[in-house]
Amino acid sequence: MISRLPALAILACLVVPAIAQDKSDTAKPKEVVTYKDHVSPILRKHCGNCHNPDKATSDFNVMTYQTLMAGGSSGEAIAAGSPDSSRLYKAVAHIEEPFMPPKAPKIPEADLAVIKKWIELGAPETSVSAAKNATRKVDLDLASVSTGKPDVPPMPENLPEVSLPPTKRPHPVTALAASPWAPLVAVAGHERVLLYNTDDLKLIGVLPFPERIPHVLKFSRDGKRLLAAGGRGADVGKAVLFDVTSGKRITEIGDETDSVLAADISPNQKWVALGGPNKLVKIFSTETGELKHKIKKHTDWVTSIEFSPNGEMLASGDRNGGVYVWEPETGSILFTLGDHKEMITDMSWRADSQMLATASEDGRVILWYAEDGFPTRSMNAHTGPTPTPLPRGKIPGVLSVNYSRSGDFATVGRDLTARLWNNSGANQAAKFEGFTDIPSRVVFTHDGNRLIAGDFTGKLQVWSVKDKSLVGELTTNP
Amino acid sequence: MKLKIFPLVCFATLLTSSAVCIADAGTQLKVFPSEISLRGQGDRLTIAVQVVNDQGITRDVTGAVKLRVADAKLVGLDGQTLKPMADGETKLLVELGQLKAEVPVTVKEATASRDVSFRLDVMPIFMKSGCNTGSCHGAARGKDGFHLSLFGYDPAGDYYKLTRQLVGRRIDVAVPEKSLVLEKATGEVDHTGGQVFTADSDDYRTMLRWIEAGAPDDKGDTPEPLGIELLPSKTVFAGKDQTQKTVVVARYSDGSVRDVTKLALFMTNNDAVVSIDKEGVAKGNNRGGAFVFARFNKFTVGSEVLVLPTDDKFVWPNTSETNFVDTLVFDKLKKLHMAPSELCDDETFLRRVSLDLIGLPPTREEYDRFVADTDKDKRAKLIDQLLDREEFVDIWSMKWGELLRIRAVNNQPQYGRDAKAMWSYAGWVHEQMAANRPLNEFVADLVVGNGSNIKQPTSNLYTANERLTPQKTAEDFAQIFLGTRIQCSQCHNHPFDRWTLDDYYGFASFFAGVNMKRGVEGREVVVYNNNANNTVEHPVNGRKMKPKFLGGDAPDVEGQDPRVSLAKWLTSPDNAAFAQTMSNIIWSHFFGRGIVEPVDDVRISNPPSNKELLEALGQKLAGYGFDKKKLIRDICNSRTYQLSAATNPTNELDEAYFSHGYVRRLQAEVLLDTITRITGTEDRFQSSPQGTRAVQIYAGNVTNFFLTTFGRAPRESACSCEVNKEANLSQALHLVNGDTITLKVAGSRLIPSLIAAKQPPEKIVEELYILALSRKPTVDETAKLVDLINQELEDPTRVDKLAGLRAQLDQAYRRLEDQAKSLKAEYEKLKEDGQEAEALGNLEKQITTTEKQLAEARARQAGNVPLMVYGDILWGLFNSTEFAFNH
Repeated sequence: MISRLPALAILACLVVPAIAQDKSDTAKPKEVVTYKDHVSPILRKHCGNCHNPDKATSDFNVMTYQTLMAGGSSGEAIAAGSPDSSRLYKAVAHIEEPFMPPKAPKIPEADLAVIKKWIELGAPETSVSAAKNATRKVDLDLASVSTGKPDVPPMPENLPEVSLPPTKRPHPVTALAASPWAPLVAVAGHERVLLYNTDDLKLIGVLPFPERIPHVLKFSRDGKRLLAAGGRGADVGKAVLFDVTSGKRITEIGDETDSVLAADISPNQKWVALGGPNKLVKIFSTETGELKHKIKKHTDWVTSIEFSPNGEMLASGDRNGGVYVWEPETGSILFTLGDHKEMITDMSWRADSQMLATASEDGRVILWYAEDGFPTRSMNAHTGPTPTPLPRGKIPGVLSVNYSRSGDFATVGRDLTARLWNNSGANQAAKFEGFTDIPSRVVFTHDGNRLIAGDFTGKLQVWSVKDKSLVGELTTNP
Repeated sequence: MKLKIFPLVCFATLLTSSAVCIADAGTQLKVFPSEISLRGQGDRLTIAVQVVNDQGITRDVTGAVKLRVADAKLVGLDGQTLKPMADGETKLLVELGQLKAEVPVTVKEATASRDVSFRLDVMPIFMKSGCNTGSCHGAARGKDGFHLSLFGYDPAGDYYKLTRQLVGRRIDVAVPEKSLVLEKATGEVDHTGGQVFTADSDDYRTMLRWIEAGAPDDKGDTPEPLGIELLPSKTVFAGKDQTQKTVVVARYSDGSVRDVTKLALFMTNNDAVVSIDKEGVAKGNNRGGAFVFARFNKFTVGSEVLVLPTDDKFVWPNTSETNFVDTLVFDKLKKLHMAPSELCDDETFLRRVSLDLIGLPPTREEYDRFVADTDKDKRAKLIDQLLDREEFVDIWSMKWGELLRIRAVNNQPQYGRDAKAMWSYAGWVHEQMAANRPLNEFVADLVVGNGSNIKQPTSNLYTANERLTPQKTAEDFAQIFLGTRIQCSQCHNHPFDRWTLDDYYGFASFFAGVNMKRGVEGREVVVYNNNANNTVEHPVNGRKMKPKFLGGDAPDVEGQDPRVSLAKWLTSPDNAAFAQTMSNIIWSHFFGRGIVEPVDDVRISNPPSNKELLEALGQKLAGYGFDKKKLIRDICNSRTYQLSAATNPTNELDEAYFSHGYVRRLQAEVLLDTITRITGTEDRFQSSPQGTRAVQIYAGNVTNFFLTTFGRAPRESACSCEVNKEANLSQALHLVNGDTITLKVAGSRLIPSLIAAKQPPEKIVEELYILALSRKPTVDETAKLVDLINQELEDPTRVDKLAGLRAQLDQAYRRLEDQAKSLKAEYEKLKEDGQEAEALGNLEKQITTTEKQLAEARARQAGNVPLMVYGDILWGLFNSTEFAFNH
């Protein structure tokens, strides 16, 4: 027998909202203001830069409900039910000093009203009160991850249509990555990632990145997944893991209060490491998004991160020139590599995990031996003339370095050149010119036959490594 | 400068930077700027208009005037803002009632649009919004890694950091409004520096347009600003809370003139008198004079604002003027509605001028002679006499010793400051002063100083610093001889003055070749110049800077000692800065305050309190061939110098315009010498011959407790602040209780001789007053003191008591007293115990003997009691403010 109840229930559900809308002036709908849905975004936007788990000014973190309600070194911030007794409300409404946010105008009245209402309603966390943090888990099929050459080189197929009009000007190339096994290169654009075929230099498709600017692009070592990390300066940052074939977002890692500037996914894809202006190296579990290690050692922004191909080491570099090598499993330190004096712009592990190349604004590329961290070679990679005179004694900085599978490596620098070096770095095999503005990123294609370098104007030049000739161009703004 | 009045004639005068038209007798309509040139489609200029009445009072009528353009096709008007429409020349006609004025307007390239320029448009925003100040991104390490050059001294570097230091971070050329620099500035995203401007502001729009154009760099031919003007240059408010809109115009190297009011920073040097807001509207507060400043690019410029009371019914008193000093000082006082005080009396003048010219008070004879003299020119004659005194030479040798830092540092002969060298140096300076050597020649000799620090004393100009570096030498040099502190511009453009890094290093180059080497004997060093080395490196880009005069040209000094050229430039009669600095130093000696104060802090944001006076003094000194005696003669003869220190209601608050005599504490050396001279005692100073007065001490390190406490200059730095005339507790305590006065009064023959001469109390009191204060005591003072003296001296018990006090200075006496006391105590005890008469009798005898001895001792001292009483009176005089201050 078909119960009439479900039908009636459904009908009721359909009717009730309608009734509620008709009689909106006589029967006020129950107001629902929760931390999770309404208050968290406001606090995050106006307060998150200081009151986040990393910086935690005054020991006060507003990014989770528990820590918000727990308060900070001045005591509790929220007195549920009474905005006028709530220190947080009094601070943001400029009723009592210190006025928050400091040195800035009061937050919009609408936001203040939401906070006030929320406190009045008892400061609930979610609409279903006291919901536990749902542990999310993504199935990545990690058991089947291998780093050897796959049977089918992963290429994007049937990417969903994306309508992202080109910007008036191309964005500079902030990130560039080549698939290790397929003729595929990912190029960072404005709020998007572009995928090009490196054989025919045609655009395959576009992955939207509404988080703003991708500063990092890294293919997983099996070429099946693409990690894009970046964000909006002083506001939000995260890493997004895409499935290369379908173009779908598998998961998102991290919830930073500033753009992510350095990231990588481990060869076994169990971990994603992130770094940025908070000077921390964070290692997350890819599957659960949980923070496994928070490493506090760098003294300036973390600007470069890369796992070794064998997955045993994680290297990170910062804006001061400091480089550390960690054991990803435990988060403990293996080496401190302190030779660079200025920002680490890029790093690249050699395929055999024996050598780490770091590039720096001090003009040098240093090749570190992975067994003991000894700098086997330190070279001034770019010594040509620069478009504007440099202060005396300054060597043009190196902005990117990339090993090919054969052990040769390429660099680009502020002297507007790209250079190809043999394995030991002793000899320069080629020099490529023709940049009109500073080249910012360089990669080899999967087979090492082509070299792609992108510059500040958003243009990428593609050369044949064998005959050193220009074979084509790509753009961040097709 | 008075304008003649031509009724019904309108004319624009370029000289005063304002277009003026006079219709009524005295009232003028002034439009600023005086000529307008518009260039390019985006150019805008907003005028300011003042009405000036015959009293010099100004009123802001910018909003009230009627404006019309003669040829409306060329220029469009939006309120008081002009914008170009078509090329050509026309006039702006300004009307207020009967008053009219005309301003010529030139329009060029009316339809040409100029791209937003990084240097012309974006850099000023960084300065005006405070981005590149020292507390924000202009700090040595910037903020969170974003560093802008402090006040924009390195536009090329700033461009690189903003656009290409971190690719894709700070600006977004693809979607410009999403640039981090804009989102932070508007507070869209978190910015520790707070909200800097709003999204609807001109500054935001300018930066957005620049990023939309692709954030281009300038092509290298960007015109540079050559200077700015803050108009109106003179404002006189009548009453409180009056306002005046100002206009800031910048002149560029391509000839264009730009209204940069919206890009300038505004400051005041005295908020209590005048304040100025961010838009450049000045507001008068309390009565007085002040300056408002505008700052743009590397220029700071000031305009004077006076605030006068409206209800004072001021009438200038009928007062005479002796010379140009008075004319110029009184000119200023007239504008400020301040009446000068009366002329000081003869006694005051005598003391004042003696202390100032020879550092000693007048003797009794000098006093009697001067007071009795009926010659109407006696003051002028006295000045002439004092100028020729030896002690006058000592004073100026001391002053130069302070400026040149003559200070012996033993045990470090390699630095050239051994006492032997300093004796030589001080001796040379004294010789020059004694010969009344013209100041420019004296200084020129020093500048080219070479050779042994012992045998060629002028070389000691270069041994003053522990380490001889071009930078330190240049800083001291500029501070001493040009009165300006360029130290700030060693690392960045000077924040409040005109000096840039280029100026600093160009000037330091003059000393790049100066070196020292060891001499023949251990304490000797030899200064020499390496003519091949005459450049220093600019810190920003390592450019080799060739010698360039401070605020002047770069002379050709290849292969020569550039200091020769420097000496010539510095001491040329045409170098107003040098002549004015020397004049200002001289002036400040006689008034306790320079016309620019401090005398070594000449800068745009520290303007002279009377610019015309300072200029005239400089010109006069140069005209006299730098003979300082002649200038000093002028100064001392002026009525201004001889004004009484008593104020009147109109000038009681004045501390800068010389409307009355300023009360100033005597300098340490002069104070000590005065006490010594009056008491007829002598001081002994280390390494100095007997009879040396404090002002004659050759080196700064030789001092004593008195001198140090009263602020003697240690001569460790070139700063004028070393001579400290501030009062403090240590000084007061030392005068009250300290050795100096006690010993000098006790050791003095003055009072004994007066007593021996059997002078009556009134006469002795009179003598003490005249010696200490250069005046006779008043009837009241005499009466009170004579009463006191008689009370003390004519009462035998009192004399005995005082004698006892005096006798107590002797240890033997005190022992006797103790003995007497204990004897008496024993006696009482024995009496109580009921002892026999014999024992008691013995004790009685002992007591009597002791007391007799005590009385005899006291009687011996009785003769000293008058000494004590008069000594105390002298002590009282020495401790009075009237004594320690020149008034």
